[in-house]
Amino acid sequence: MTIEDTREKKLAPPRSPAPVDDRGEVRRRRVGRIAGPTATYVGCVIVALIAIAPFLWMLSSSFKEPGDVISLTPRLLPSPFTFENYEYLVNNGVLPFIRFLGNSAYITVLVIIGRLMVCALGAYGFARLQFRGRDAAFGLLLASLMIPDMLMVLPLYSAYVKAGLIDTHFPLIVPPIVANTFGTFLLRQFFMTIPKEYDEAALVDGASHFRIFVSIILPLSKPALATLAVLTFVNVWNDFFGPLVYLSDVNKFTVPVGLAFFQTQDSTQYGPLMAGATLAIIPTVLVFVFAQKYFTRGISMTGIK
Amino acid sequence: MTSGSLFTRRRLLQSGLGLAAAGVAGTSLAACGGSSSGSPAGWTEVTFSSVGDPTTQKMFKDMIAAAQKESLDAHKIKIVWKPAPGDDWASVMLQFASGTTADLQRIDDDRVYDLATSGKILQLDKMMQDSTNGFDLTKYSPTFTTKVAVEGYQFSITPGMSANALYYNKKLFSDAGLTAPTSWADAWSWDEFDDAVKKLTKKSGNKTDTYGLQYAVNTIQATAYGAGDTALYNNQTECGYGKPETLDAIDKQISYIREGYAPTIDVEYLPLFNGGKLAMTWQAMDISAQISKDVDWDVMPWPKTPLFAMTKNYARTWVIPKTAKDPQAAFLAMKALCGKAASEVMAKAQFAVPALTEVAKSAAFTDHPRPKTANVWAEALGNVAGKPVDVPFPRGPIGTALADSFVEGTNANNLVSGKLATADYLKRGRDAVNAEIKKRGWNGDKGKELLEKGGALTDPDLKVAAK
Amino acid sequence: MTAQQTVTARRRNLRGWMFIGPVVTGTLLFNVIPVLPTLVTSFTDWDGLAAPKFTGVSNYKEMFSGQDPLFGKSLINTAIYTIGYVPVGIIIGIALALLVNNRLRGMAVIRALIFLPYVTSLVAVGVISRWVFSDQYGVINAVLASFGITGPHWLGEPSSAMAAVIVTAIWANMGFNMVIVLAGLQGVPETLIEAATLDGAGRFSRFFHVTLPFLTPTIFMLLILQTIGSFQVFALILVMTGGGPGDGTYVYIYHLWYEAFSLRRMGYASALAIVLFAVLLAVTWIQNRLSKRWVFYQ
Repeated sequence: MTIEDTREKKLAPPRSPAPVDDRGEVRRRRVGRIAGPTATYVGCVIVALIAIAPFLWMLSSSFKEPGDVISLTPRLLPSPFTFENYEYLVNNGVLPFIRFLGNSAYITVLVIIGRLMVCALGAYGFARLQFRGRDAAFGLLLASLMIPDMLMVLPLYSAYVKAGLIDTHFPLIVPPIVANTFGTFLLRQFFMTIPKEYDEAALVDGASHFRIFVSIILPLSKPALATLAVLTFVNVWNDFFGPLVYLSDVNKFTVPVGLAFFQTQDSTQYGPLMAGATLAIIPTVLVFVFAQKYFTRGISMTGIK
Repeated sequence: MTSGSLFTRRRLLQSGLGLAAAGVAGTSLAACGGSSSGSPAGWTEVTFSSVGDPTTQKMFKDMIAAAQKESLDAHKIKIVWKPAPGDDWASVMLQFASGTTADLQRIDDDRVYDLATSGKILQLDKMMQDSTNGFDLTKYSPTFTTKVAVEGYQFSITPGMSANALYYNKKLFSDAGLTAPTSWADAWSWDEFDDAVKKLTKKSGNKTDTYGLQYAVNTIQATAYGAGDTALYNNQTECGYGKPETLDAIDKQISYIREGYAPTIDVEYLPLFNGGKLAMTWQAMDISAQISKDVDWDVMPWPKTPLFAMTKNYARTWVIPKTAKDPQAAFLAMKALCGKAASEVMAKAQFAVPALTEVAKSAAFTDHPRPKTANVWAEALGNVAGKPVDVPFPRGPIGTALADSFVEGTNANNLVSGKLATADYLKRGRDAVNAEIKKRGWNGDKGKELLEKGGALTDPDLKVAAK
Repeated sequence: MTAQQTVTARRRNLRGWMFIGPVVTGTLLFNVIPVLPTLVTSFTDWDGLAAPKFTGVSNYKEMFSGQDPLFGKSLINTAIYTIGYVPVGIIIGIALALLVNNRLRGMAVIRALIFLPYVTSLVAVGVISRWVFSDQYGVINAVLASFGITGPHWLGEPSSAMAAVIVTAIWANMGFNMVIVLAGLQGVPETLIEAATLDGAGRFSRFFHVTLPFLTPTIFMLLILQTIGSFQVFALILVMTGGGPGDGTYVYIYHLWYEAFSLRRMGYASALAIVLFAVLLAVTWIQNRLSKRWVFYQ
């Protein structure tokens, strides 16, 4: 097997650190070690408080009576406290909300698995291989983001009608798997920071590129893959426009379409809407918490060498 | 390539294919649980679709059940109900463009004109006039047909209309020593109204603590109409709203915002009203459920303008797409949904004023704990002193330009944000509409031409709308 | 070129395309081909229902001859939004990622909390943001008032409304930027950081000389994608200001949406989309050219 990749450069040395006064630096570091965690915690708590406010409002609204939700000075604790919004959500005689959760879940899981495979494969090609048309193809992927979806939907809709795919989950599963620039771009950028020495060593040992992809690049890319999985989850789980347009059978609707029922041009039923939004956010948070053990590197990259 | 990588690759592919198969299975399973109802042989199915929140959808379900029992079961027609979320015109338009709409479709009234002229919906005049299966129009309020007629032809009907009225806070009224009028015939004059707005508003310094009034920008058409003006002049060849009275009337109304008697449009009315910081708000019927239990409220008419009482109502209207599988059955289903049993369901839900007059006047509509004066809503569909309470507004391409220039677009937003003088607002709006008229070479006969060109008129001589 | 070399080149190309084939084919099928009709309809007068009427370049003429003042206005508003949001959003994303990139106790919870705004219902975000920025009852003006400052009528004035929208966008997307930068940070070899520390480099020096160069590919991606995304901002505007006050937050996609679905001018909306495409293509091309000066790849 020949080594064809001609793009290789030696690992660029890190720009040399600025010289610093040794003694002063040591002292500062020691102080930093004591103040560090405390300062970090203080910063974290401030940011978290800013971040969480609307969520708290959403949560508290979901336990309020209709007339209490929208008020001049929002009260954090509902009074009176009621479960009626949740009851109405799952038992309104019209919308099978539990079924919507199931539909959303299976669509989301399929897209995550498919997208990780397709995007990782593509990203490897874009990041690691040299061949004709590569840069043009990447340009095409980027350019495809530059036309607003709302106009693309017209031709797509009539194509799906002709193919008999309207009112199926096909348009919500297959295109998000096979046509995702974001995931490809994210993984490509990450793959590009992995030192080339690993590939070179493997190529010298006679490994194929596919082998390098599967047994070197993918294991090293867990943080990026986990990130893509989480962001895909959010993206598909919350997708509204696609299911809204392509589905018309109430039994096939997803959670965001179900929630859209509570909001019309003229009025919004905030109570059940916020109850639904709260239920919908739980899986997202669980997935995030589960995935984040991969966000920071467990076995550091240096451990492999 | 090593065998190891081949294996991995195959395994990857297999698991991928397996999952894809699972996906297909899931899709087809979902299809089995779908809405095909398995009606007995010999029955005709009519699909019916509308947007609406779950409360509304539940009401449609009940209306369908009532209509089935009243007449449709006897006709062996079964309505298959397809709820649609939100207010998404994009989906409905896609469905019309691709012929995938339901057999009976409920849509916004301002879409009827375009759908008719592009030949997407059925002309109904002939079926409506049929002596056995048609409508007895004397039983319905005029808005049932006129509100949605296209150049006098009938492509749709509105079984009910969400009336607009002034919701008011009773406590703030009694504190200010005011008693609200209880019918359109007794509506306040503009001077009485002005007086009330100023009494109800409480200011401290240049800040307003309690607003007297809140209104949406679409009341401006009504104000102009009330000032004795029309939207179009000279057989629709020139934009209206040019009278000095119109400028004065609109300017008066806008001055409430400029002077702090009414909030600017970025301020939400609902928290203000629920917090007892807003005395009157101009709203459609469906906000009732969202008013706080702490607020004692009722509804009252908009004041009499120099000429007559008026309002601006909007409607959702019912059409039969040309792609309907059995148009006759769809028509019968529509008729049954406008019948007494279904109308009573609508009345009890206080969702809209039923066009069937006897039901709108019956206890089913008026006998509710709130509002006490539901008749203010009911009357909005009729005439007061020989004049319709509901303001006529042109539809079609020029109607769209009018709405864009005076109601929906940035011109109107600038006016109600207090960023634009009323005279400039009117001038810009009129210039834009006149430009559209010129571009299209529009006049009063163009609408019918469009209908004929679009193949919309199957029976051009027939019109059912009351003159 | 020898036959051997040709064969090798062909194999190399084939292999490359085997990797990128799925995503490129998918993109072509579902994201590129459906765009082509837009190009055609941009030369027509079309309401989306009846047959389109060919009108040559008149849609483009309308845009560039000043007949549609909202075209220019919305483009400028969109540019202001993009310039206000993208750089600050990325910097905050980096700062947050650095803040939480450690294994201290409770960090898992903190990260999840910072990520929450990104997944919170936009309806809730709209309601809350209007309350936060309310001139009489809002949190921000209450805080300002405690310092003796009279806060502006945020959503009532065009310029402050745009500022409020930008602040909300930064807030809503900070979790998104954070997790992406966090992933990028995991690509920084720890040996280099350790080496720099041994050499006596301080925190800032380590960040600017070791960490930042390794982050540049991530920052570059965020810059490209967030710019494209910002030019298409819509939903946030819809729930927060509805394009107002006046035309203060009337952005490009809002205009496109309004033309397409309110006025049913699909032809004109298509032309707007094509112009947006051209603008984004130019901006992305420039960003890509400039990237060669600052983005550091392995």
